Amino acid sequence: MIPLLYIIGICAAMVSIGIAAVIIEKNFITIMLAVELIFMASTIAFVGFYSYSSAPGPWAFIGIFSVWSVAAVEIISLIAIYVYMKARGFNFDIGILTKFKW
Amino acid sequence: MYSVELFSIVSVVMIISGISIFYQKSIMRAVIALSISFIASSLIFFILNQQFIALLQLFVFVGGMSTYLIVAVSSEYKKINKIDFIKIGVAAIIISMSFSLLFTVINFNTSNTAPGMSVYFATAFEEYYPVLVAAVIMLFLAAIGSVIVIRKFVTLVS
Repeated sequence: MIPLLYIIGICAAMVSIGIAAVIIEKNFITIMLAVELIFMASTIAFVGFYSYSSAPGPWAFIGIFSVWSVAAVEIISLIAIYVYMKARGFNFDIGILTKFKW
Repeated sequence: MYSVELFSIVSVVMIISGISIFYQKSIMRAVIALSISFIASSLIFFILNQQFIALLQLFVFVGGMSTYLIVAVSSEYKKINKIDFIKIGVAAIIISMSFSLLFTVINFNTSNTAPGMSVYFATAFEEYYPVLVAAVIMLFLAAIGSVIVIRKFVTLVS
């Protein structure tokens, strides 16, 4: 059995990588991929705690499905925004991304 | 038996691929690195005895979302290096074959014991076995077909 501390450690590492990338990176697409890493870390933590619980029940599974749904929606919206910005010739650098407004 | 060692190796692979997303110059390679970290996370689920979650992670995120991202990003490329194209093709075939491999392992485990979440779905696996095998074959054919489509619309530069 994997110690729970290892699972929490790997989740903390992935969340740290994701947050650091969101802060440091300037490319819009890369920032969205970093957010995807954070979602993945939360799923791993969810499954890790699920594995250690004695009687988790089906609600834990519904919770994981909710995280997955948000992550999938984020990827789909990322693709839509990417195609839109590429077609309009927008720059992906968020420092000069001033045209992308409602 | 060697689950802790395997977990450590997979974790290192996941962290390296997660960091390498931000060192890639092209978005295509960043997406491929994200796919590798998705595969590593599904392996972690498998090590944690959550085979059904591992299968869903592999189907939905690696098979669906990452392929969708790669196709969307690669549609912007008019020219592609021939060696990179061969790498993409080999990666697509290996990823699609991993579906059938994982499914075989899951089926083997659920026939003996059904640990974790798969206890809810163990009977469903046995009942819908032909449907799942058909889905695996369709995914494999779709991966090969996507490589052929990319080959048709992208100019190869040797």
